[in-house]
Amino acid sequence: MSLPDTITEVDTSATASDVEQLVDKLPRERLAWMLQKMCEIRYFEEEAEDLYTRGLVHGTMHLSIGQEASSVGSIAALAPDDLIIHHHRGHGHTIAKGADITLMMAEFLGKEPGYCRGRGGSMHIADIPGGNLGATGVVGSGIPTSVGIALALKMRNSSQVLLSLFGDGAVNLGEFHESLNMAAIWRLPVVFICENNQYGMSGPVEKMSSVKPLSIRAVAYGMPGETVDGNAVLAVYSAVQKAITRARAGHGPSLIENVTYRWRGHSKSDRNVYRTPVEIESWKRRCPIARFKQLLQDAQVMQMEEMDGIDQEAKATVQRATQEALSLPEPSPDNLEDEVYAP
Amino acid sequence: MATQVIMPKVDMVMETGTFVEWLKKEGDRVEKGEPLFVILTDKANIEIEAPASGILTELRAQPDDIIPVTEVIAVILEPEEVLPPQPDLAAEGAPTPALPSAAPTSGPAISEPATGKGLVGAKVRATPAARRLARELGIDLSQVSGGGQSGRIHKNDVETFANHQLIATEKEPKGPQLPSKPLPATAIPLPRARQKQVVPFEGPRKIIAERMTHSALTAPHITLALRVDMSEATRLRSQLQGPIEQRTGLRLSFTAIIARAVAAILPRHPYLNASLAEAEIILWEDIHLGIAVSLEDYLIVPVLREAQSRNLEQIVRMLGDLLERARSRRLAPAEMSGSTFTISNLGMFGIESFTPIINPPESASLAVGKIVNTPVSTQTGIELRPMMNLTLSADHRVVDGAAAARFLADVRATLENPYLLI
Amino acid sequence: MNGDGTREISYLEALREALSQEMRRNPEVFLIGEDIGVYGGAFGVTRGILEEFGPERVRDTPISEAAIAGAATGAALMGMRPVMEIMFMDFMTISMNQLVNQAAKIRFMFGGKASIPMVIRTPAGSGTGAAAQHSQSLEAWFIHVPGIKVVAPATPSDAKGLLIAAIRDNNPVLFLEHKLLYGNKGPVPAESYTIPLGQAKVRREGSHATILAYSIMVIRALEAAERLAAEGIQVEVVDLRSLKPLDKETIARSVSKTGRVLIVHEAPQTGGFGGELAAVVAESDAFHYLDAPIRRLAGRDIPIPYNRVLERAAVPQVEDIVAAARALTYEGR
Repeated sequence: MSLPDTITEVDTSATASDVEQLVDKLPRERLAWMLQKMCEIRYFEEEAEDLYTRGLVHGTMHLSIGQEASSVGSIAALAPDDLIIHHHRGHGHTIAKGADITLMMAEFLGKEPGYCRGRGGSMHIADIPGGNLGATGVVGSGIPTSVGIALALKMRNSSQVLLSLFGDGAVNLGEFHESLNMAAIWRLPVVFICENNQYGMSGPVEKMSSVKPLSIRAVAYGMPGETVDGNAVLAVYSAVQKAITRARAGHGPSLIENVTYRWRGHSKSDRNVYRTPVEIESWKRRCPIARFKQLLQDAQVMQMEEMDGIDQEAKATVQRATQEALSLPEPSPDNLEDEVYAP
Repeated sequence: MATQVIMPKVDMVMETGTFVEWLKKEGDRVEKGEPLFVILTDKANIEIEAPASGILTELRAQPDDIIPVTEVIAVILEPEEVLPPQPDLAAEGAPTPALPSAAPTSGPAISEPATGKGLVGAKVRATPAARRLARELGIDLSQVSGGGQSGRIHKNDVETFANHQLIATEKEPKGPQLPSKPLPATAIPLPRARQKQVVPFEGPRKIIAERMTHSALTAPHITLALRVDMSEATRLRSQLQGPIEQRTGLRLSFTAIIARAVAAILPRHPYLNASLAEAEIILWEDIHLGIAVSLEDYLIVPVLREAQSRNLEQIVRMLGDLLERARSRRLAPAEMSGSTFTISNLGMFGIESFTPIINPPESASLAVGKIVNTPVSTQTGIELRPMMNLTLSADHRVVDGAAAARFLADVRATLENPYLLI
Repeated sequence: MNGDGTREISYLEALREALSQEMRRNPEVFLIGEDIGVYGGAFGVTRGILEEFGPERVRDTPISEAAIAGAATGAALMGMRPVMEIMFMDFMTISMNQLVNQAAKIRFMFGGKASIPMVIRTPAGSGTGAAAQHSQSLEAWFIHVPGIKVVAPATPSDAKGLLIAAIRDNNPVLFLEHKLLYGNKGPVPAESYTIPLGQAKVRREGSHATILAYSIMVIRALEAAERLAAEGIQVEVVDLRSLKPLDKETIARSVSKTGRVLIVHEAPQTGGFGGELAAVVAESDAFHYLDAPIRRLAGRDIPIPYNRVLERAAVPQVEDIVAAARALTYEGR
């Protein structure tokens, strides 16, 4: 399949045949892994929520319950040494990229052995050796930084690719525009992934963005753009994989829009006054995990019993991680100034 | 397995919630995720979902109750489960209460304004440098007039003040009060004679007068004298003259040698380096030697501080510096007071001996006379030896005759055998 | 060539030399900014560098200050050593998010497990008739952000040594170049050398008063000191060189010696770095030796005007420094 220099097609969903092919082509273990990760994300988020209501978490959190397929589908398409950079609603990305859940929970709880020594918290988890270049909390700030990361990859003639994940709110920032343009002119090895969960904080995408689907903005930068059913993990995988292949081949960036939905409010102080319970319910019925299980069962790749086992194992993993993390030590204020400057 | 229903934290800073109403009743079957009760926070009414499926029981919250976050308000039992009778469910396995307060032990840096101790004249407008100097010299800033903006006192104002004052207003040690009134002049008739000049009786002269009067009137003086054979001392001086001059650029005087000797000896005679202060006699550890110097108008006594730990060369230097500055009126008041023992030498005027008045609050004072070649009786007959009179006045309240004598003898012994100074 | 191995070159040439030498030494050092390639940089600093190092390492960008800053941040996060240029310091406003929220904070937020070794070079200051939006000195904003270092060299030799040091520093360093300094010449060693950050320099010794200054105000203060010397007033001029980290010891030592201090900077007085310096002096041991209030001489609290006379009047000039230093010396005397 030849890859023209600038593709401006706008695909609204990966074709059913793409997905069927993937179910057959992908090794069973890989599919099981994807299910495992999605379950781990779900349980992690629920556990986080529980800890919060019990008053054990300082600050707030941004849960991605309902968006598991977007995280896992995108990141599963990466090679092990590929990189991601993401944002405040990033627990899912972090888990999908292979983070140690205990250390994640520890960071979440502000503990010293956490990924960022308790200095970053939920919004700023990074696992640099694992290729997770970090979540940052100012909407869209990771996007210009992505340009730099991808620039370094290109200047070093690396075969690595970067996934730059952000939400629907970020696409209206000036930084989005500057960054996609720069990535395009220099053909940087980055895939821009917009996880459109329909709302900024309370601002619905319909009201806040001048054009839909969001991926159509790719035209403005001469890069391929694609909109995908973000709750179908293999559809996401398919689209992102194509974009990664393009990037790795030196054909530059793409913009993928994963259409999904967040079940919980923006953060813990969100009263959900901007959407209706009916709407939330309708999306819950399209749960990405349930859909994937159904797909695997229908394709006769796995039995429900085995998948329940994976599910329960994920739950147990998260619970174990939480118990351990709760017992880990707090950081000391004595060395507060330590990590401000590099020596 | 029973699931506790708690007042949840739904806001970053929430500590209590107001219970509004139950949406299910005691004994109802509830499903996980189903709206179970309503609470009120400062933002709005919020529906809270059931955390588990089962039978709702043990409802504890009433409408309008204000309930702390994490407090248990109900229990959801599995079907057919029965709660064991327990008086206080809240205690058993209750979720751990609120966060450990992460108050750092070291807060943000608080900048403390630099303050000095014992600010003199705290309401006076003065620069830090001026205050510092005033503190060092023991000057009351309220006495100083400032040349800066709005009368602000600068360092040079304090210096000027100090230079015009040769006596610092140090605290007098407690003791008998100075006579407050001078002798009434009208009591003694003045001679009938033409006046050459009328000199105001004030300033340093007056202060010296008061001190000497005080000393003479309150301290019973005993006076002891002896002659010292300065042959060895003279030999020492001629040996060291050259090297000292080379090293310091100054001449080695007998006064310096005597000062060195006295400083070495006084520690053995503590009552001669002491002060009587009302109810106690203070024996001083330091030996601050006052060396009386006569200027044209009056006497000043520059002080060699901590003479006990100075060697001859250092004494020569210090003495040279003090004397030079004394003559050019550049001594600070602090350098002209605070001595613990005084030495006066009138030998350069040809005076062979004299009786010093003790400089209060010291307990003794040593007068040095001229070195005169005098025939003395020695083992080998009559010889001319360079003899020098030493006269010691001591305050009999503090020092008795024998102590004074021992000291004086010690001085003689040392001057006659200066090798003892090693 | 001078006897000591230095030669007279301009501040601008010294910067160019620093960049070239570091780029030769380390292949991961690269330049990124607007019009720095073929054009040679808006002020000519990078002229010739493209020819030696090629377009990969001398990267012209679109007008995208946010993306430039992000690109530098991301590349630094990966371990490269970008030197980004913001054409006029005024445009740093567009880069602020990347510099303040990403570059300055990534290391700390990630528990020390990352570092951002980048340099932000930017021409600052007034005097070229560029008016309000092309003449600002905004160093105070960045000094106030933990995680960023700030340097402001006054002489060609300092410019070279500090730029090399900044490139080798493992943190984001903001490097201020005053536009009027580019043409100044001074002795500069030919070889590569560094000047440590956090080290001030006493450029002229004196006993009557201390002037604390940086960037162009050092030059003006030295000129002022020369004129004052003819009147018998000896002022000591301290060139801060590095605003953050700051050499508090040299400052305290000088002010303790003279007892009087005049702080001079171009940026507007209110909220300017001078306030911080005054507090540093007051909190130091030098407080006890102060014989006059701490004085600041800084830019007027106005945007820089266009008209030449007005522009001059907006910031301290040599005669202003002379007058202020003289008045300070005589306060209370």
